[in-house]
Amino acid sequence: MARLRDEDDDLKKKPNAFVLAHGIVKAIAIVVGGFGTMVAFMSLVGIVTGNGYARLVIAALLSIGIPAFLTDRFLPKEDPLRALGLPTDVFALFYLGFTFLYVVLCHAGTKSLLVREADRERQAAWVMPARVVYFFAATYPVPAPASATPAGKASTAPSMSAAPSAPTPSAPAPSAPSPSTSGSK
Amino acid sequence: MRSYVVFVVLVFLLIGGFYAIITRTREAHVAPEPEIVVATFEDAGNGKPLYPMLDASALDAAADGSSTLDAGPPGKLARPLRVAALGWDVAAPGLVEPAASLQVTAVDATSDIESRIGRGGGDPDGADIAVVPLASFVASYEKLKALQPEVFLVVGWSRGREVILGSSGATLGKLSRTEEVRVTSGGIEAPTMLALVAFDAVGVAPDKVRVLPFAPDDKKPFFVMADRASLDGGTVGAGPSGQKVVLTSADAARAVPLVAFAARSFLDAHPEDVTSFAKQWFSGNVGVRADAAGASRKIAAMPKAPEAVFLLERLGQMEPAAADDLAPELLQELVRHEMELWRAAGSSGGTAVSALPVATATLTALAKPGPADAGAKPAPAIGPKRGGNVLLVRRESPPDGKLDEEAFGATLAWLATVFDRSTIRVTVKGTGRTHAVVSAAIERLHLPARVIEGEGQPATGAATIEVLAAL
Repeated sequence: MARLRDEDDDLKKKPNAFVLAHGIVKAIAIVVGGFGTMVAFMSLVGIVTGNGYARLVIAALLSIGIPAFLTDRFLPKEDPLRALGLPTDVFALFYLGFTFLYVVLCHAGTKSLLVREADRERQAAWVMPARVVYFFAATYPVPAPASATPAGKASTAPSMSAAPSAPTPSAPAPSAPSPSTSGSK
Repeated sequence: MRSYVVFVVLVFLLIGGFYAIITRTREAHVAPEPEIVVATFEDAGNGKPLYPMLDASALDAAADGSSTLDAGPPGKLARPLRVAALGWDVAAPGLVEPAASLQVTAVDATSDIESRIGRGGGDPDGADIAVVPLASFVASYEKLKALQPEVFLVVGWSRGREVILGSSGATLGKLSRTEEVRVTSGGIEAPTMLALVAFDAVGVAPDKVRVLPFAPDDKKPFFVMADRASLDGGTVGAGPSGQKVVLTSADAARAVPLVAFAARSFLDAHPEDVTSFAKQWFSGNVGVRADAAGASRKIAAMPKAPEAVFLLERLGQMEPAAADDLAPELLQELVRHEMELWRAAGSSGGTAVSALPVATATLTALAKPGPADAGAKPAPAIGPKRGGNVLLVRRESPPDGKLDEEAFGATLAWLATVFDRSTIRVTVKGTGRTHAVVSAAIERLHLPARVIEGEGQPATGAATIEVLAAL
């Protein structure tokens, strides 16, 4: 009977408990790390633009594209059996590793970026994600004290004009307006 | 082997990272408030509305007067009066002269106004009073009806923010009541209302107006309703794709009044605060008019405010209410007319209102002080001008050929009100009829001298009304 080569260790049957634990840890790593990676990239894109859609899309592209590229590089083309589980391993390692690097190891430099990202998310009413990002940045949000918001100070939104509750189609019947309007200014 | 290595590394990163984060000293950070979010008025899929502040129980409570929405105890408010204004320019009078008793917030969208009024002024993110174009109030009325919102004050007029553009061949002077009128809309209430008023003035029947989602590709005439700020480059006189301006709210300022409204429960419980707000707002109007550049700079320095030059332009497109704009009859007529137009256009989605949502108590209280308490002195009377560009033409063609002079006079009065600086030129079919009809209408309805008799006979129909451009 042929013996497995050393490099075929991956194909040996592993204990069920380990397989279960490995799967759970990988799933947690992908979810937590995926969120952290997205937020990290969004905060980096936020250096350039505050536009939410731009941050989201670019971060998503980077978050998926980089580990996908790495997976493609690491996949053994001539031996597909050894690639079993490799993509998820790469994704889990990349996501959690990048999050660890950005949030923990580079905390001093990335804290302000994370706080700004969390502020943006909070303003966009993504309150729960913002809370998590504040947690990553080792801060917690507090409302502005009353004395810092003097009466008369506006608190929101720029630009003008109103919103889309527009009417439909028709213009009205020619109405004979009441003569009670004097017409004089 | 790989699996074990990956497992160990992941466990290390998870535990190590989690430990590092939770053992850090966490600092307080003053965070911005979330924006008011109102997604849509649709069901969330579970039978509950996505409009949390106006769920059924709150609406029912508001309707029977036992509102959980804070109208505050009767009498003087023990907290600042909260005001939400649609746009920084509209909010300007409340921002340039801060007062401890007044807290003004500029918001971006009508949905924000609805949400804040729904929350009530007791909520830090709510509002007691809203200042909006009347068209926005009309558009929001159905959503806020349970609160019984009432307009209680005209604070100003839009003079040029709203624009109707026409493609080649599209003018209000050549519109026929029988031809289809094609329009595209940006979905903004005030320009839409301006267009409704203009088409109504011309006499176009509702079923003749067709709204298109995009500008058509063919060469047939069509109109575009827009806010001037949304035009590329804001070029006066020309819009995108070569369309030309055919009418603006500068021509028809009375079509776009800026009004203040509040829930009836609040108006009834705090009349003194409401009157005080009106006086403060008019005082702010005076301040803005006296130094628009300074006001623009002051507001531009506020967080998230637009640039000063943009504000200055917008402030120049508004006019504060004058003393004689405080007449209750004027406010009632404006609200009635615009609500009818909006409903006839099929937009409100509701039934006719049983009573006009207008409260006149504040106007009555303000009527005693002199013009200095309003935003501006009354403009000098505009003299008639015999010639000039024709903004729009209305042709009266009754089926039996006989002109209903009473209704015709009322139409003249309305046009003279809306186009408050334009000459209204009238011709009536029949020898000497023009003079007889016009002079009778002027005498009966106290029409201004801008209503003049035209020469000759109308080309078609029993009578013609032409509105001439003021400048």
